[in-house]
Order: sequence, then structure tokens, then C-alpha cells
Amino acid sequence: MTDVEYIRAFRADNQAVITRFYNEYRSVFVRDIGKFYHILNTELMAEIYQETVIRVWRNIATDKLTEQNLTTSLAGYLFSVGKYVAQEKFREANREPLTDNEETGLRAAAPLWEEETEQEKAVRKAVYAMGEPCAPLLLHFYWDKMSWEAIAQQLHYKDAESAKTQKYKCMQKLKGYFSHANVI
Amino acid sequence: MELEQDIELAIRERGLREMLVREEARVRQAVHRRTVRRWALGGSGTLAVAAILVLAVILVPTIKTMHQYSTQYVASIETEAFRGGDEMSMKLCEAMVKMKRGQWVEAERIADTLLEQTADSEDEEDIDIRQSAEWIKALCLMHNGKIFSARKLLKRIAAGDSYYSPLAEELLR
Repeated sequence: MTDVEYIRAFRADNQAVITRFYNEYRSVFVRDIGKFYHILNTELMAEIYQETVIRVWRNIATDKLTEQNLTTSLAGYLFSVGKYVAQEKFREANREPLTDNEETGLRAAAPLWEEETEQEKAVRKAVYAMGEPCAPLLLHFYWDKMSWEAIAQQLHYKDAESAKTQKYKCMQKLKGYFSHANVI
Repeated sequence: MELEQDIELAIRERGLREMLVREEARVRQAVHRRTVRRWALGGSGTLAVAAILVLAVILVPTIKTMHQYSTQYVASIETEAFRGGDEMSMKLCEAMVKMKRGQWVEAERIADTLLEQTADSEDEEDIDIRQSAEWIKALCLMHNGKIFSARKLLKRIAAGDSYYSPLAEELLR
């Protein structure tokens, strides 16, 4: 697949293609980034790789990375972001602040990278903490792109309307959480 | 509106993360099965490839015939590691059990079936099965006295990039 095809598939949350991309670059990423940073721990490397792929996906999903502004290969971009993620993991582990030069170097290594807003961080935290019944419902709708009929059947709702009503309640609950927290 | 977009993005990201975690687990399990399969067929779960090569180098000069080599090699195979595996792993196990019982013709037949089933596949698991089945077939050919066919197959294995290539190279020398 070409880089353009991958970017379009990422934007559309094409799970089969994203999985293919993940497997295509996994072993060389783990080997090269692992060698570069002397990381022998395979679980840590897997964590770094997953986080890297997620960040690449996020940049595509938010149009920070597009077919037009990709200046290297997508694999090259993946590795740039991977180095940034690996550095972040070290920074978290060592709990030392970066110097200005290190910060500049990291940003150069991960083009098109912007820090998340406080709202984005808070939203992620709330969404990851979600349980039943909201998590499976919202995941089926937004990530799996299932129809309401399919969602109702999968999650044993009376009908599609009942599922839609529950979705509305879940979204209101999430929005209400942020209103109370005065995040927005 | 912005909050709703952030929520949607976070939900999709969660879906992606959960999918990648599952995929990573699946990949690791496949790698583990391949490793277990290779160590079992390699004769010992604790021998490194280098140790197996050393063993092969020591064994080959002292074994008078390919027949003797294949008999002694099969004696060291562990079949326990294959219990509970998928269908093709179980077939590999069956072939090895047949060899251990001296049923070399039946073992070769099973290896041929596995080779047919995985012939054109590019799936990593299938490639791994195919390489193991080729090695079993080579052992069977050696044991059954089909020396020229055995040598031809060993040359193919040696020329490939499989776990058994170094073993085949040593045997050919």
C-alpha cells in the first residue's frame, strides 16, 4: 500500500489496514528504536510502538498530518515520532526536566507535533475511565462504525432507538462531567 | 462542539488502543508458538542454536549413515510442547510421534500433507509449519534410505532462510 492509501485508511479508522500497518513495521521498529535507545525490555518496546502508532493516527485524524504535508515517507514519520515517544518514556522514568536544546531536538524529531490542550487530556482520562454501558456503546458507534441496528443487537437493546437514547445519555454525562469540572 | 469532537476523538483513540493491545498479544502468542515449535523440533527446549550446531558437528562425523542420524535426532525430539496447539501444530506433533514409534512412512505422508496445505501461503504461521514439515520430510527420507531425494531436500532447506538451514548445511558437509 502507498503512504497516501495508508493515510486515508487511518483517517477512516480502517481497522484491517491499521492492523496491517502495525504488523508491517513492528519488528523493524522494535529492533531499530530498541537498538538506538538500548532498550532490551520487549514489553516497554511494544508500549512505545503502540503509543507511536496511536500518535501517528491522531495526527492524521486531526488533519495535522495529511497527504499534502507529509514531507518524508510515512515510515520515516513513524520512526521520528517513535524517537520522541521513547525519549518521553525515559523522561517520565527519570523525572528530569528537559533542557531547552533537548526540547528543541525532540520537536525537530517529531514534525507536526503539538502538545495536547488540558481539555484534550481531561477528555481522554474521562473516556478511558468509562465503563458499562457507555464504553461498548460509544466504541461500537464511533470506532467500529456499526449501524444502530447492529449495535442494538450486539448489546441487547430493545431496538435501535433505545441504543440511540442511551448514547445521548452517555454523551450528556460526559459533557456534564466537564461542565462541573469547569474544564471548558 | 469542540468538546464533542474531543470526546469523539478520545473514544476512537480508545478503540484503536484496545485493538493494538489485542493485536500485540496475538503477535506475541504467534511468536511464542513458533519458538516453542522450533525448540521442540530442535531436540531440546534449552539448547541454543549454536549448541545445536555444535551437537550436529559432533554427531555428523560419528554417525555412519543418514539413517543413524535421523534415528538419534528423533529420539531427542519433545512432543509435549505441541499439545493443545492449532490443527497444523497437532499434525506436526502426530508426525513426530510416528517417527518416534518407527512409523517413518506414515510420518512422511503427514509431512507431505502439511507441505501441500501450506504450499503457496505467505502467512508467517504457514511458512513456519512448511519449514518444520520440510525438515521432518528430510529426516524421513534419510531414514527410509532415499538418499538422493534427502540430499536434494537438504540443499533446498540449506539454501532457504529457515531455522533448519544451518542443520541442513552441516549434514550436507
